[in-house]
Amino acid sequence: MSVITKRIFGEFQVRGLSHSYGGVPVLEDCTLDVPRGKLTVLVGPSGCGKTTLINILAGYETSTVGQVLLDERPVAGPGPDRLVVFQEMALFPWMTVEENVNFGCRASGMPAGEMRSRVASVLAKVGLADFRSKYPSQLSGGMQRRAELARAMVNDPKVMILDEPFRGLDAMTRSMMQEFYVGLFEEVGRTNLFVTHDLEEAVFLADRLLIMTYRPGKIREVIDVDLPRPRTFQVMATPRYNEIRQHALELLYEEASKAFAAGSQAAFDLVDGFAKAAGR
Amino acid sequence: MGISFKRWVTNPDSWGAVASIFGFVLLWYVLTAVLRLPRFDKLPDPVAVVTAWLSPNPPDGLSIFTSVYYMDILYSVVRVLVSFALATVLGVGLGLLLGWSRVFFDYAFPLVETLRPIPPIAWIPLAVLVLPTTEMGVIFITFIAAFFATVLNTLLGVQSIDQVYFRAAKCLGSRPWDVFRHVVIPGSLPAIFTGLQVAMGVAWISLVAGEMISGQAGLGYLIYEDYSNLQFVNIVIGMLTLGLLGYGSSALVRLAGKRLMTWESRRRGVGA
Repeated sequence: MSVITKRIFGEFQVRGLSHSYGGVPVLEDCTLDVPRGKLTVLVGPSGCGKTTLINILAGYETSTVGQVLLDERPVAGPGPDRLVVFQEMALFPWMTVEENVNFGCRASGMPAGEMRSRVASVLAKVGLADFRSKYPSQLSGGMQRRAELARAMVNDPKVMILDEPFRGLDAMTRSMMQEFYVGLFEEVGRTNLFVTHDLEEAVFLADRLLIMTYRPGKIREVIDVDLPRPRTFQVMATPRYNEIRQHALELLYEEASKAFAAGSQAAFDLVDGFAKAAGR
Repeated sequence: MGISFKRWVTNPDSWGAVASIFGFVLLWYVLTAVLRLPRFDKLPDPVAVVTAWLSPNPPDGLSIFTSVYYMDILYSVVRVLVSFALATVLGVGLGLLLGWSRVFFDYAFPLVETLRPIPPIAWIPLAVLVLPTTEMGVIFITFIAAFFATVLNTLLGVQSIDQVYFRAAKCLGSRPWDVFRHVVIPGSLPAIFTGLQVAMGVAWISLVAGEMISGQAGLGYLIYEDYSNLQFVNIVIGMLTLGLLGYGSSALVRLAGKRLMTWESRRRGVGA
């Protein structure tokens, strides 16, 4: 894309980050890097604190313990240098696709001419040029996700943070979106942090795979995914893909069983509590 | 809008409405003119009402051919419009402020919640006492319930906006004023219009109460005066006129809402 310049993208450094809600530690001594120009994927079982971690990176929450640095400067509050693509449908329903996409440009006071050409090129890129005047509710699930990607990309952020962006899509659309997204990444080479609990998705997309532990969350292992780029779905049939996936699966399985055991324990405790309350 | 009379007539959905109105009138006719049940025999039957309503020479002096009828309508309509406009401007403003500022909410909400349940009729004595003209008193009474309905619905509208939109706006670099204009206002519009419809309804209700007690013209006054004169046909004409005006004004509010919220009516598969 000619309009979006390849400027210097950002990198995150997280050092010894801890965070808790009401005394319950969610993140503990969490240290990780999101290196410049790489697609880093964070996987972990449900409830391991992935969303908390990216809320802190995005600046929605602040932590008292540890450091979050973007290009060596501490993160303070949300801002358009780190754009988040949310797991929920976060397009404004009252704005057309075009108004949604140019929202960030209007907020930053970009000149109208530049805004128009940028928005047009990004919409063409995601295949929504003919849908610019539709409202989000008139689009299919896959189109909504592409509009959301466009809304983030058009602002040329230093880092893009994607929080399970393809959740809730049907399997086929999801695969299409993964391939589409990986193509976008390979073209521009922006720093991306992608969060998911789907291991196939994670290995297919990633340059680096961060496996998170179950509560309190920290990084258990960093796996370099040395699969060739550009990636297409054929890569999922290669032995190397399966090797990485198998290794990651074993780690994730251990963490997921901890989560499961904790869930079961909580269920037992609850039943126990009811039984005691009933005097049995 | 844009529904032609022909399409309305040929549309089976509108037959139900016609059938229920016809059924109501028939029941009314049977009770008052055919069965003449005890106590119901004092009520005017629909034929008498319609005949008087459409008569160039009405026996009780009220029909679509008399100027007093239109004077009363005009007075009531203007009072409702003024009160409704005030309730919209002040109510939406206060509701947005309550939803937007936590501090303001903490200060003002308990007061709003204390004043809100006081029925408009209870305000009448003080309104008459304090306000310099009766006209202002009637408008205040019409305004007060509509105002609180608007405030509460606007506040609930702001509170119902999904947090993800605020996060998205902040992340895209919005300043507070942008968030207010592009998230808070459009996000609460559906609830605001629900509130305005309720407000329009309660405005008519309180208007009649106000006009009965302190008015000098208007449909509520007409009904009250004809009650003293035992002109029951005129009372029913006044009631039905109120019903039609209320229906029409609510439809206008709905229409305005549809115009302002194109995104709501253009859902996939529903419209273009």
